[in-house]
Amino acid sequence: MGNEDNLEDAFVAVIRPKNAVSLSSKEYRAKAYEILLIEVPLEGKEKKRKKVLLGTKIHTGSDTSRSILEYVDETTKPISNNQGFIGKRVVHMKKFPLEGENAGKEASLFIVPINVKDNSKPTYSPGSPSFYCLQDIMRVCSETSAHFSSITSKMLLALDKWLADQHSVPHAIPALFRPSPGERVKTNVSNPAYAPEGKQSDAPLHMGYTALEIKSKMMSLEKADMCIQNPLYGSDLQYTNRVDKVIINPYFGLGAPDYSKIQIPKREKWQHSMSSVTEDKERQWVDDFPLHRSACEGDTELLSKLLDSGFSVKQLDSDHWAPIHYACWYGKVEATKVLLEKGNCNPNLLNGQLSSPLHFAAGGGHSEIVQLLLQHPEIDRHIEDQQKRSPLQVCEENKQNDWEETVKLLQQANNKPYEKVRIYRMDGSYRSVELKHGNNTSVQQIMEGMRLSQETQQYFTIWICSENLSLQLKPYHKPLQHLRIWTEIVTDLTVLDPQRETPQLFLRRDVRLPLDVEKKVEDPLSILILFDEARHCLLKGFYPSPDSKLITLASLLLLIIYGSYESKKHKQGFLNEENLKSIVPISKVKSKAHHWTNRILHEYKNLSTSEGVSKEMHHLQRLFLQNCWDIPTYGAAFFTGQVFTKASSSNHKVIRVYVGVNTKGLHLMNMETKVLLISLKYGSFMWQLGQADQYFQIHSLENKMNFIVHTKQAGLIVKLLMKLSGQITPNDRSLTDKYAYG
Amino acid sequence: MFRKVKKRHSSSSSQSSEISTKSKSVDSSLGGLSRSSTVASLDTDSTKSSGNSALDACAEFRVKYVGAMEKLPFEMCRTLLEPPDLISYIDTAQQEGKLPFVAADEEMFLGVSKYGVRVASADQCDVLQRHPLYLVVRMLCYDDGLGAGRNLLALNTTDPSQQECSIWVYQCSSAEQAQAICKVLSAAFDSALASDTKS
Repeated sequence: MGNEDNLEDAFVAVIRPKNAVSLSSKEYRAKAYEILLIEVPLEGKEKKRKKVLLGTKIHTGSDTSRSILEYVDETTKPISNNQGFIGKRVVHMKKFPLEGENAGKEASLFIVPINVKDNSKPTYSPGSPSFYCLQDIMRVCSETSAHFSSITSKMLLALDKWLADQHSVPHAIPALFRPSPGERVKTNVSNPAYAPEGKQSDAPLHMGYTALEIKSKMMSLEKADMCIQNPLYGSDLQYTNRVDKVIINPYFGLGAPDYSKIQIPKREKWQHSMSSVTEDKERQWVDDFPLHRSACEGDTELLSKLLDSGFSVKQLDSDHWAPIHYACWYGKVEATKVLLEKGNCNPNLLNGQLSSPLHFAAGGGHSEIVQLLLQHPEIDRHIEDQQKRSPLQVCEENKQNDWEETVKLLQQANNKPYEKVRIYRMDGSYRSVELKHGNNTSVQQIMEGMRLSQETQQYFTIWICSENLSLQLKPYHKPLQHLRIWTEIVTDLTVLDPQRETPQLFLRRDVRLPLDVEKKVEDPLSILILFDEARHCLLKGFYPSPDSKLITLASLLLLIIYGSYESKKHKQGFLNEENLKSIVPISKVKSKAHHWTNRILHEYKNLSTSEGVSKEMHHLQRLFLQNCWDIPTYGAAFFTGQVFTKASSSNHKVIRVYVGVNTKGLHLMNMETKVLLISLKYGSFMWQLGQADQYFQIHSLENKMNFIVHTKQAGLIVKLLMKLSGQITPNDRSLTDKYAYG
Repeated sequence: MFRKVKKRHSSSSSQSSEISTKSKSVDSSLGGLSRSSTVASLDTDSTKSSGNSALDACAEFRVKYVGAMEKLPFEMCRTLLEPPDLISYIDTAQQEGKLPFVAADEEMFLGVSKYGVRVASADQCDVLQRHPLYLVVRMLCYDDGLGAGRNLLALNTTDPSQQECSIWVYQCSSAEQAQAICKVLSAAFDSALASDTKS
């Protein structure tokens, strides 16, 4: 009968409730249960007996539950009319260590719950187990009790505790005594795909299929009938959280309305008003932006009329579009033409979304407009929109209307030469510079186009100058756009008639150039340009100086212009008025210059013969500059303004002045007489900008003198003072300079 | 699409009303589907024959979830082949506290179709479990024996590689419902075969 080692000691506690009620009790009472025990004679003492739990040996690894249930059934037959007690289940409680000869081994205690005690009278059979009230048993049970074997005592104590524990768990006790699983089966559905292999032979095939076939059929159901992929997945479609429309309840926050006064409008009215919301908006737009609308519709007649009446081509509507954007978007060729020609609209004007007219026209495939725009001298054919796209890209992406022709035009345009702009020098010469970006070309780009050496470039920059207004531009400024709006600038900064001020671009000395740096300049071209400018300023009277200095400068100029002195040529009469004009300040020509001719010629003669003077042209020019450097107003930017003086208590006298600002300080010159009124060095005076930038106040620390200069250029002057006096570092770009002085 | 299913009034006592409105009426075709080989219950109508119900639609039932024992060794499928053994195993797990005796109150939708068993949350928004038909080994309906007449539904599943098996236990609202679920699953087994033969 198998291997001894496979046998394991098993004790069985067969328990039953005395009545059904005790099953639902939450409190554990030992007296509610009965337990099956066997009396065996006590070893050595014939008369005394002890009670033990049912014990058997089971094969480990076999169906433990079944063998225990069979054992219980067998054991109890004698006491139940040979029927035996059918255990409901076998619950393994725990293992106990054995003592004595079996020390080291373990025995399991199994609990076998059986049906509630019935009324049938128990039949007593000697040697067979019988039921005892658990309470009675537990009362006399202790580890050392002689009534039980020691292992039984231990197990009974453990069982008692276990039952008490089970009572504390809801449903545990009813579950323990619930009917055996076999009685509770209702429906069993087995997957034919998992039919047990052993039975396959005798069981008929399910609908004629083997288990494997069935399984494969079921697996095929798992395959998708349809697969839909998101076509946009993986495309680089940009996520946008832009709001298309926001509607705010205008009544929000006004409290609860009076509902009695609210009427639901009639259906027709309601429908009408619904559809007319957009209409209203459009009507509003038409009212507010007639120029936009006429551009939109291509109504050139109205467009011209509106332009005549002063509508601005630059005005942006509620969508931040200017009229030209509408004209280009809707392909209105004539309207575009009118806006560009009559309205003098900037062809590179950006809308609020940073798209240009060329982008609109190209995107819409309006080849005629594209051509029109490309022919414009100021067009920036390399313009990019917010997404860094060129008009050509936009055109090819959209493929609208006549896009093929438009693409051709745009490509051809790239091969055309660029428009040029003249950059003048102070001697009247000029260089034509390509405008790669039309009127979007910046000062920096123009400077690069000047083809000056790296060294030369740093001393000069682009100025925009008309007869009475000169402004130095910053590297990022777009000079052509300044030319375009010069009348506005003139109106802003002066009281002059803008029509009489024609602007040109000049290459001039950078007002910020320190004298220390200029003194080290050796490059002949740089010296020449500096010289030309200095001479120009001298002759215009911007360098007020003592007579002796003016005479020296005049003689130097003679040497530069006419070469070395020749007594035959350069006689007294040689210096006529015409010649004087080119060597002495204009203001002195009539009044004084005649008396200077002898002295000028004398010095001219000396210079020519002097050994120490190099006759190399750029050395002479540099010598001229050297003589200029100590003139207070040298290298200054000149502004215009007015000073009111109190000639007497009753009447004011207005003096028109030049305000010169350079790296040395601030200088006031009488505009008519070109007399230097005052010259203040940085550190010796304070300044303050007046209200609305209409004047500035100067306080001289030396003589406690105050004066006020009235000028629309006050803001510019004060900013330049701050910059050149070192109060603003060049990097400090916080100030929003509208025009000038980089 | 789950959203479209309207919730039924919970007071329904009749079994047929438990089957969702979108499903085909299962009851009418149930009769002949219970084969002796698959359905062990005593079905009075089992003499009728039909078996061609293509269970494309999904029969849905409101059940409660008791718990699951997952990732058991696949051998368990073999040792628990007899229904009482499976019940005994679950009983023991309950006794040892590994499974609750009674389900939680939350209701769920158990859907049965030829694609298998799907358990979704009460609002049908979340699919909580899905047991493909080919991985369902067996469904067993039994009384929990605690006297309240609760019927439990044990679902024995395996994994595609047949390395493990799992036992899922649901609590039905009534014996009829439990029976109906078994019948629908039985029909599903049959229709999986039937529908395939057609194609």
